[in-house]
Amino acid sequence: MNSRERVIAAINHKEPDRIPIDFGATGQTGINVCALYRLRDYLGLPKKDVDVFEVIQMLGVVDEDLRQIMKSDVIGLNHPEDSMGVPDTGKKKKFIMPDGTPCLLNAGNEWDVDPDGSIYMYPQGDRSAPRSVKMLDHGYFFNIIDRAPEYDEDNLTPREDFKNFFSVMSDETAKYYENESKRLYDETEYAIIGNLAGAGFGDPGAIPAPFEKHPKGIRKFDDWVAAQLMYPEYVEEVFEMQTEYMLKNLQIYKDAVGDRIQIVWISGTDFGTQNGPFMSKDLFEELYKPYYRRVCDWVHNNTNWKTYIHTCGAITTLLDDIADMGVDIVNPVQLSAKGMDAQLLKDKWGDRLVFWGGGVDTQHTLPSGTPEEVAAQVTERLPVLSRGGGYVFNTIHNIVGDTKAENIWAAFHAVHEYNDRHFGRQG
Amino acid sequence: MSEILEEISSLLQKGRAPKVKAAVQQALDQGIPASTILQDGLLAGMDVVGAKFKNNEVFVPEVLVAARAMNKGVEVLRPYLVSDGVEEKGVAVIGTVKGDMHDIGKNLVRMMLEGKGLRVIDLGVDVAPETFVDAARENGAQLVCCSALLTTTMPEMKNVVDAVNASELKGRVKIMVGGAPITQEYADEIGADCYTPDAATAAEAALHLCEQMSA
Repeated sequence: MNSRERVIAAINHKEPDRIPIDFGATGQTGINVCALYRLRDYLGLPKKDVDVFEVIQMLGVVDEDLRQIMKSDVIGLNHPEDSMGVPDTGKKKKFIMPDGTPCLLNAGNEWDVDPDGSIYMYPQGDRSAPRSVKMLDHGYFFNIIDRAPEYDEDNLTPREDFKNFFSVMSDETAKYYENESKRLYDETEYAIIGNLAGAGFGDPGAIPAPFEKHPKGIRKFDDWVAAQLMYPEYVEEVFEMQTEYMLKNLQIYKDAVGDRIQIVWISGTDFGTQNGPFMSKDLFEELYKPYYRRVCDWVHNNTNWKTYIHTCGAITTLLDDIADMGVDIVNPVQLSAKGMDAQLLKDKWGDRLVFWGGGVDTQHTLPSGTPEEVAAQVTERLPVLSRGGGYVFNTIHNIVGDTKAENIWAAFHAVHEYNDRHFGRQG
Repeated sequence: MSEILEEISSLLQKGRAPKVKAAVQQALDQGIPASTILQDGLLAGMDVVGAKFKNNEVFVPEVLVAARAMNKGVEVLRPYLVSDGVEEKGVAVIGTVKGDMHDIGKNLVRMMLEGKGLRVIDLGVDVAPETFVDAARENGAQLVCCSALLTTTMPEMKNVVDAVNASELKGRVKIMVGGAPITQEYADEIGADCYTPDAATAAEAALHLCEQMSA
């Protein structure tokens, strides 16, 4: 099997010839630029400025030399615009992280370094708009700044508030996706995940909209979460609007990429916390499930793609609904959250959901354990998670900036060794 | 217990802010002391919300709207509480440690502490150790509560412990710590007084510590 065939088997719940690996294909299975820079050095690869593909989390582009060493089976088809709303024109601008790591951002980005060392960026590189994200001195990523003015609860205008938040895909973007999907499909053997997004309903990380110049309406985390109970008609109107845009964009996207992608990444809304779900099952079923179902149904009725969502946290009470509404693949499988037991997940949902991630804990083990502890955790989890297919290896969420290179290598090398031991050596 | 107090508690649990406000005014009009309305109406309602949150019977949205409703009720009561000379059950300063800007968990803990009748001074995010100490001193706090979400910033909690211990507040304030990467073991290692794994437990522990310290 080549990488694409291997992943296709796994996401169809068939046992592939070895456990497939994702390293850096999405915005939640990636690696921070600082960790990436050090990992390249550790592995003896040439030093180079790290291209950034996701600005807020400062995730680095994994180049082909590193992808091969990590034996990733997946590659991402990414947006031609970064998370600050700045297009990739091919021209880059150097950005130095607080720890000295050299990076390259799309040239249209604009930022300031304040006297205290904090770095602020402007939405769409527009210096006339309020700064929308902040990286602290010694930081590894940007934090989103709340900018929306107070809303008037007696005069709520959801469609007006979100009119710059959603958009129909441009012809130029569609053309980019067409060309890039052809390149990835024809020139590589990787499985391709289309990082389309667009159906992250109520994503608290997106609602404040760091890419918008002047966000308005209900945009602060607390306000948004409370609005689900206080002004559900507002939230529903936003979701309705979002679904309309998403269905239009899916058609354009399908026309552009056809069946060259195998998976479509649609949502990064977190539905879980460390201790439990973010909301009741009832609220999820009333407010979220119908919209996700419309999106997933469209994908299944019109394409061969599998639907993929990311949600952190303890979500066992919601997994029946998530499977019901047409989600095929769930990431990051946060086994460190309450009740998220690998055996339980496989036993109860393993025949309906593909688990993508879960390989090693990024809250404790990966950043602060020894390489031996990291490898031991990976090796223990692999047979449970990979039983019957339906599994792609990744760490639980992105690899954070201060993670030691030897630990990252220990995690992925443990999968290589496991695969060699159980399925025989590969070329 | 009077019907109106039960109604306040029940309305608060449903997050019906305008109705809580009206019911609190009605209770005052009936001549019920402000401290009783606070304790047996508003705080009693938040106790139920806190217990249900801990048991995963209600979730973050319900806690947020209940806390908003409580604040509306307290706004009505505040002048009466002040003129009656009602004292708070304790004072806590709370913040997310230096280098860390995550505040969802910290805000939940603040709401839960307020729901126990504590006065809470919220220092926000990216708070330096000396800011915790200064705020605790200025406000006569019994508790310093530190939150961290990042493995890179949790060592800042040790700096807060050290700053408190280097000041005259040593032994006079208790330090509480929490956040996703924090464990009891880590709290013990840095010499924090209390670790709790969730917001509701934090509020129970905070009230308990304040009662112990005033005894």
